[in-house]
Amino acid sequence: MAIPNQRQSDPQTPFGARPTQGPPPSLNASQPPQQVQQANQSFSQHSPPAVQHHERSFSQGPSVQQGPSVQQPGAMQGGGPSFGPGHGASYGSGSISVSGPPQLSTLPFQDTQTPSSQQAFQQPAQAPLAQNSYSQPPQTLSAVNLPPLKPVFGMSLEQLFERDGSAVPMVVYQCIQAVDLFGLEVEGIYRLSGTSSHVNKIKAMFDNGKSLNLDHR
Amino acid sequence: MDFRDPANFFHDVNSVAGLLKQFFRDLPDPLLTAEHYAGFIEAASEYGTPNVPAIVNKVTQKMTMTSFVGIHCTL
Repeated sequence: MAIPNQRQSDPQTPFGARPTQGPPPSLNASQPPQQVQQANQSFSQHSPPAVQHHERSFSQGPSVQQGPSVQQPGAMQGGGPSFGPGHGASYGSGSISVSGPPQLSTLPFQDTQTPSSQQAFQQPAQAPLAQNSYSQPPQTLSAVNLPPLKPVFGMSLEQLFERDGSAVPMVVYQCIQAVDLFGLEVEGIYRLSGTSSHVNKIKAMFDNGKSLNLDHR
Repeated sequence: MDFRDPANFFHDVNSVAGLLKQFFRDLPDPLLTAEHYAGFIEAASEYGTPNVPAIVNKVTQKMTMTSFVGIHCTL
């Protein structure tokens, strides 16, 4: 029983496990010629560590951090084309497996473009890949797209205790409290798993530390 | 966010129950710990006999405090 359940949780946890492959072709793909030279320089300098794996993950950091800095002069020259390559490339990587209408899949990237670029400074290797992994289903909540600020799901009980200092995780406490108060009259409370959109929203709230306000109960 | 107010979970208690199950599923180590899996299976095989409490005690005494607290809070 436990082994297939763990496999279900696997695709959720390793957001940035694989090496980034999205941004480098985006720089070469459709930028103006002057910026293609800049992009080629930075790309030729940093592309070998980008191909490699975890051991060089720190060396990937500057390369990805230079990605937005390369695009910023493009924004100075012309606002429109500079945003074009980023969306085009990220959409292009997603369109390999997605055959839906282009507008539906491009619009979420415009919403998530600025927060993902901000997080590129914190977690350089994970942010672009998180975009690609979530590119297939166009999500409505931006909070669902972002990596969790204070992850709860997928952590061990020891890690949660060391971080939060509570023997019972807040998720467990709150869920049992809700079931205690409102769920005991519901038939099949644990048999029916509820609406997946609601589950994802509540899960995102816990993973982003929204339950901290409850410490003053 | 306080689950004493049903609006905070969209008046959907089943989702909260499903989320609790998902939390336990996502634990890297199962709640009863993979290490003592065989011990609990042994206790379950004695279901209905008076040996069960003794076997469970024997298993839980070997467990770390974190999981033990988790079990007691859940059961």
